[in-house]
Amino acid sequence: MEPDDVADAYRRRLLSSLHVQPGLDQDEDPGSLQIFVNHECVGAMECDEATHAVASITQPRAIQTVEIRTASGRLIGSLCAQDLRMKMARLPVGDHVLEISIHNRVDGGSVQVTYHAAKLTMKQATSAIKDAHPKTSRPVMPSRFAQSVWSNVTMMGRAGFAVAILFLVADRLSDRIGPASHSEPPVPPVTVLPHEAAVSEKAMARQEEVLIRVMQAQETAMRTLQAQQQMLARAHQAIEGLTRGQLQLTDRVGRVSLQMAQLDEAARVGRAGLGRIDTLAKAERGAKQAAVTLAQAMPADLSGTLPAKVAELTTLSPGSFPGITDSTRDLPTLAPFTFWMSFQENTPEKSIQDLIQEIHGRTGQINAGWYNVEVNLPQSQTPDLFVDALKKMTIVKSVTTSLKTTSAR
Amino acid sequence: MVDRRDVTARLSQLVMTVDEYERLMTEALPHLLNHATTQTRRFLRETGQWGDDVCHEKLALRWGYELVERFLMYGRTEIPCRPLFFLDSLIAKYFSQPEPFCYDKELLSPLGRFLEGLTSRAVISRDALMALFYHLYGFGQSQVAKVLGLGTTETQRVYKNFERWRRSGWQRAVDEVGITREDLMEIESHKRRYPDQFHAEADRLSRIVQAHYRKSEPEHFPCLSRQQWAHLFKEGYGYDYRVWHLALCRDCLSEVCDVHQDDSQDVLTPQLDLRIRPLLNGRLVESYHSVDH
Ligand SMILES: [Zn+2]
Repeated sequence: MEPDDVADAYRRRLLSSLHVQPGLDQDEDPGSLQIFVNHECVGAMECDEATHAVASITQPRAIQTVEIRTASGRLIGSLCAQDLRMKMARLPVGDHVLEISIHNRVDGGSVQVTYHAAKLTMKQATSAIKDAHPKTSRPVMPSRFAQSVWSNVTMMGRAGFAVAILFLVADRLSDRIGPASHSEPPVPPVTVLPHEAAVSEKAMARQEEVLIRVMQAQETAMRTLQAQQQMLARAHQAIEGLTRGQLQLTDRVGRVSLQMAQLDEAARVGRAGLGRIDTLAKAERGAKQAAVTLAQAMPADLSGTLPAKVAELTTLSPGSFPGITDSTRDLPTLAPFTFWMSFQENTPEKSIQDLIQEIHGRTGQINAGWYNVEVNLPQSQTPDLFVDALKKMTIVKSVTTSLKTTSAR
Repeated sequence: MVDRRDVTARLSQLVMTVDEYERLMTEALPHLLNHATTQTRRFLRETGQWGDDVCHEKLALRWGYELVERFLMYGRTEIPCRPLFFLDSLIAKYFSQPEPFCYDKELLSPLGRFLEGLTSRAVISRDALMALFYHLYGFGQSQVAKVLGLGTTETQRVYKNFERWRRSGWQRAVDEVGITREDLMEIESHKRRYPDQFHAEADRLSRIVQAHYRKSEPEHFPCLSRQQWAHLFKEGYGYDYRVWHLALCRDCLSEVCDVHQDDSQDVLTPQLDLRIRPLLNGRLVESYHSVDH
């Protein structure tokens, strides 16, 4: 076969694989789901015998991406935090549902992955119970815990319900590899219920102790999560208000820019003598007034609706521009990047402003149709790629990092 | 035939709903694969890892494919978004990692590509990870369970891993990493005709590959001393760690086998003994249903 044919056949093979992606084949047993954080496998979550499974991962680094794959390697769910502090998603996987939530803080990040199996048949439910209590009458978990976690989850037959908990601590081994005198290590790397039937008494007691600790941690995590969910709901309401406010604002900004442009034009064309000074003074007054109008519009529209905590959560801005982040986001990975951009003829100012707003750009001077814009790029994104992407926009005529023309006066 | 410029324009526009996104993605798959492949090719060129031949072309395609696979899934939770922008930002993020790809000129031979492809699949698939013990050392599932010190439940999972791998996993992996039937025949003939040379080559290449993929694990996953391994097995923890690290580190695997032998357990010592195809019902998997035939 010719080299071109080989590459072409391979391309066709890959395309046919992509057509099957993404998601889970209807009949594919979820079994053991692998969790990847920032492209590294941090553990597996057993879903074959449980109706619900929860995994929590905490690590000292910020979480950028979470991926869930089946044992065969098929990608069935993922979430990209894009430098945001919090993000959640609920993803259908065949008849089942996966929930992923990411929470980044200054000192690291955490992820919670929840798997909800499709409705249980009675038979499966019975076997689930059996497996959850292997050859022992010890309660596997306090019911208090089960209730606090699942009270707001609709499920079929609370009794026929086994929960597999997986508590992963990313630095799971470091505490064990230390000095040998460290005889009673904290939470073990992975705890999975239902666990094996054949465990010794000693191991059983240890497991139980560890489990209680895991559950306490889990309970705290769930409380935090619930509080976060409530806040999130409030944040969503606030965002809606914010979006409305922003639309009005954009409109106002548009009008003000137009007014400024007219005044600027008047000043430049300028008449001699006193008349000219009058116009300039008027222009300046006009500009100041406009600025004041804006400043007043801002707090009225934005501040009242947002309690401080919720304002923090609005970093979950809807439809944020990929790869670009707000300066308000507190992860220290941003680098300012300044460039000039020109637009196709007859592009309405509104579309221009919308685009600038979408890339979270700050505009500087406008020079012969060139707009000076500054954005914050995550350090991982190269300016070149960003510029390339920008050039592909239909309204953008050209993008450059340095303007060669002499400043028009 | 869809107009390419039309698709590019639509991929640059704001997509508002999941339905719209999925329709567009189905239509634009060839374009997306092409885009990601072009970016990968560019990255390889700029980092001095390119050659104008079919091997490199296939590498760019394969890594482009992996990026698109991720993009299709991530994109669903990014709506509303401009798909092409989002793809570019994902690609940029991926390339900004230290050594995003396992590239080494020595790995361009059929044997090198086979070993690299198999190991890269093991990073994302538990089935493939378990199968590594078979392909590298000829371990069967019960031997794997013994070496890793697994209990009944986990052992059953290993059986499932092996089963899926034999039935479909191996074939899919081989197809998706771009190993053709001719490649497989060449490797097998090499093994048959020059066994010593083949063994030395496989030994050297597998070490290069394992060292790369082991590095992708978190920093706190180091090699352990013999005492530490012994402690880990005695106390019964670190299940994930055992599977992951031992599949990708021959030195530690030897240590662990020695530990087991000290405990007078009947385990094999790991000798590299590369197997190309899995066994299905006692016979080697022969079928090959690639699109190029
Ligand atoms: Zn090692």
